[in-house]
Amino acid sequence: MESYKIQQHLYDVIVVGAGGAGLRATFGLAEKGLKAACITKVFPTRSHTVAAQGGISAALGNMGEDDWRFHFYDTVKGSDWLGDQDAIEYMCREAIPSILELEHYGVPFSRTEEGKIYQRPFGGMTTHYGKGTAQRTCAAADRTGHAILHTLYQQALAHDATFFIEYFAIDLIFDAEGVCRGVLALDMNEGTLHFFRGHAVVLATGGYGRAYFSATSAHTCTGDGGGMVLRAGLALQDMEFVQFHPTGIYGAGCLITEGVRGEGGYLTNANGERFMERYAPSAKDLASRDVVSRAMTLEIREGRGVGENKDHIYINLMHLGPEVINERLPGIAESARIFAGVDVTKEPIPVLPTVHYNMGGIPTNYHGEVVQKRGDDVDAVVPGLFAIGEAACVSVHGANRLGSNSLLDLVVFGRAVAHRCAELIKPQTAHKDLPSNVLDKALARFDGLRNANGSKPTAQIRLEMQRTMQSDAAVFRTGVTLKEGCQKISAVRESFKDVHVSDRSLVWNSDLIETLELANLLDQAVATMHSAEQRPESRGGHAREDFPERDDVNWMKHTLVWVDEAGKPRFDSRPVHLNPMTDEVKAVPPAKRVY
Amino acid sequence: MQAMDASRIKRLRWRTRRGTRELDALFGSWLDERFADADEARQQAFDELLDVQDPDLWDWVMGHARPARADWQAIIDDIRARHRL
Repeated sequence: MESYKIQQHLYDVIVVGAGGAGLRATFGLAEKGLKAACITKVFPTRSHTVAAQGGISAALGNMGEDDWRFHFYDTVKGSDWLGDQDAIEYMCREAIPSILELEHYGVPFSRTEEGKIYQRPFGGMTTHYGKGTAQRTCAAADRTGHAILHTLYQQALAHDATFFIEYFAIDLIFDAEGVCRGVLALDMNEGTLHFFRGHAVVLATGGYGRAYFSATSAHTCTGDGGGMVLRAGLALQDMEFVQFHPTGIYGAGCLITEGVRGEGGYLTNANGERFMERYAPSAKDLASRDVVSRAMTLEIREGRGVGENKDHIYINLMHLGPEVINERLPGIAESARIFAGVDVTKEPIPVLPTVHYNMGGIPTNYHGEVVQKRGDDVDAVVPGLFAIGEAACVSVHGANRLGSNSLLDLVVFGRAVAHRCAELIKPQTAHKDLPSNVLDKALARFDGLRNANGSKPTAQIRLEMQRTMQSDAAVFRTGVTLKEGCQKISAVRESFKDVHVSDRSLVWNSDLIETLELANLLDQAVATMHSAEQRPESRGGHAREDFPERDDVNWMKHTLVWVDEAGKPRFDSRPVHLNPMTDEVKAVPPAKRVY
Repeated sequence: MQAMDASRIKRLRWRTRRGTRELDALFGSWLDERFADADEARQQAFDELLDVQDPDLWDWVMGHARPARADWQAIIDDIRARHRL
């Protein structure tokens, strides 16, 4: 193996990722006087948080009565009782100061005439425990995600946080006692390797949507933190819970908003039939996301899909006329033209249920500390390791995430990690000596992939993974198809041993980076498919045709999944925290989730 | 010169990774299909265009706003034309 020169950097805390969660943590750490470094593979304001336009929820009560307890109830119910109620209490209470702080830092929230933050209604957000409609979602025009990123990045720089931009995190580094001591990373511009040492490492690396063929996520969403955690021999949690949006443009993944069906757009199959009438006779095309996604999937599976491969569905807007389309659905005509090549006034748009959000991830408590099951201790903290945002599973979203709770999750738990680290770490504490071979394993793996000389190009294995996940770990799930899917995805994982990397350089080597990303995606794809196979019930985003009911007696628990070096998964579970953090709110007992 | 071009394209390929799926597709495909044939001035303009914030790029491509730089608008116009906008 080539001997690599490693540059070492000493910080109090290392944050990996510069989306909303990573930037909130980085800024918060620096503000608390800790020496913080943020490593990010793309420029901070170019992270996928930028795509979150909808808004961020908090029971500010600016538009009428609201209470964080109502928000708490909605989130527990939305989670289909898989969310941890202590963490949900923490998030909904802390939402209020977290948003007011963002306003103070300079996020340009849209305002009411009296100058308060304007708030609008959003699906699933209610008052009085389901009785009224809440106006709880704050937005900065249609740029909420970007406005938050921009403000937090400026604040972090103002507080002297250091950014290492276009650095790719390769692996976590632990000492012999299992304490996380840092991260090995590649500077893509210089082609040099760096060991970032910290008393804590915070993973804010986002979701792994790109494990699927059709995903709304940007290319960069490869769940690198989850991959690193699995390679460190730690478990991920609730990976079977994936949220789908019913109308992503076929092939491109770009979203056609729910507003299209709200304005009268409808779905048809290969026979031109408006099939939603059969699945949801009263709500029809306006049924909830999961119902519509499932109906579309069944139509395709039963041979009534459209297109050459009969593998998608049409959404029709032609009857609305150009005036309605341009006035009430701005941007839809352009998106359809660019990404589907269709004129929406004359032709339907080809669509497919599309991966939108990963509820599962790295298990943590509400301080953002990574937890594992160790013997009888089901909440054992992994020293030195934190996770936040879509990379983490706190778990506040449980089996299903509510709209406008994802931006909230980023901000609240990014902030929580800063608070926790300030309690645990004294600034400028000396770093422990580590044995000289501490990087050997990570370096050997890196060098092996860099020189990978098999017969399969990275792109080919990636496509096989994406197609397998799309066909067997998407909306339609039964024991038979999942068993098949498990075999197929494990075979794809196995084929990665035969990967071929054509570019041996270290500078701007996209081929190498995409191979490292594929390794991260593959382990999480295996975790997702196998986790779905072992959970014989339907709950939130995980719907089994053969087990259509929720089974609280046996399955109200978090799945823990490990994937070993050979790609073999192993399972255990942790109990759901059914009690809130304080006695200021009552636990929400399980009930059927109906809206 | 050719080695330098190859390295530059590799850097730009990474930078066409944007925050959204839509912009990934629009700017990535322009790099793949148009960059090599563009003159040096236009290549440089594209390089600098990639430093612009995503919401601005999106507004420009959608035709909701226009960049101040004519060389950027020319690239945006080309992206729009390629997609029959």
